[in-house]
Amino acid sequence: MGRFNPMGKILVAMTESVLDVQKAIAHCRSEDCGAEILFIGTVRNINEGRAVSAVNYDGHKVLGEKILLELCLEAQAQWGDNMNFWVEHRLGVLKVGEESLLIHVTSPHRDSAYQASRYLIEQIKLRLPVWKEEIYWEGDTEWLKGQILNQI
Amino acid sequence: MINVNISLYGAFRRLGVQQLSLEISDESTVADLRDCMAKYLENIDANISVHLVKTSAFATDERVLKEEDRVAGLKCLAILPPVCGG
Repeated sequence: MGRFNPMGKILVAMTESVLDVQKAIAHCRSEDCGAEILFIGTVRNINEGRAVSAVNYDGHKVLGEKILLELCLEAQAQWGDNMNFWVEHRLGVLKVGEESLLIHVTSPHRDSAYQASRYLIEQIKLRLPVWKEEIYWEGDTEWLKGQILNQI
Repeated sequence: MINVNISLYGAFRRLGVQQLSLEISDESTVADLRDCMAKYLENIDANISVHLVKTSAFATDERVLKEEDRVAGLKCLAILPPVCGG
């Protein structure tokens, strides 16, 4: 018999450490949740026609973790209190192929898990204080343009 | 007048420092601080466009600020360029 989980678990982090998928799964898995969605963002080897060797991720850790928590609470409010979340954004210099973002969501049903996961990545793109400096194979670098932050 | 320290992120890192210190009036709002920072960067001929200052947000550790917010008394100010996480 499964345990009733009245309020889901949430863990968020902005970290210089390598992201750990197994820890995310262990945190979120729950007997009352039959659906798990794992989203992993990785560093791509090309952007706008330029060969990328690495990306330097800069971020405001304190505000960023507060915003990640807000996003998870918003998702819980919209799709269910019994959902569980693990959201980590990596900071520092990452080589092509390394994992920069991990979003793991578990929910009693698949529809809410898909929707919440999609909500989190789209809101992260709009609201999380993180910046990318691409490092190209030619040796030069460029800070990427982004989305203007609005007051919520 | 008060001194405010502003932490720099993203493209503002090109200035080569972690923080800027600016002197503004006690009554200044975030909009005034933005103008002050744009003028300062123009004066030192920094390789930072005024457009970047105008499209950036100001924030504390707790929240993104509004243009009309008063700066006096706020702690841990930062300027946040347009974001591109993920």
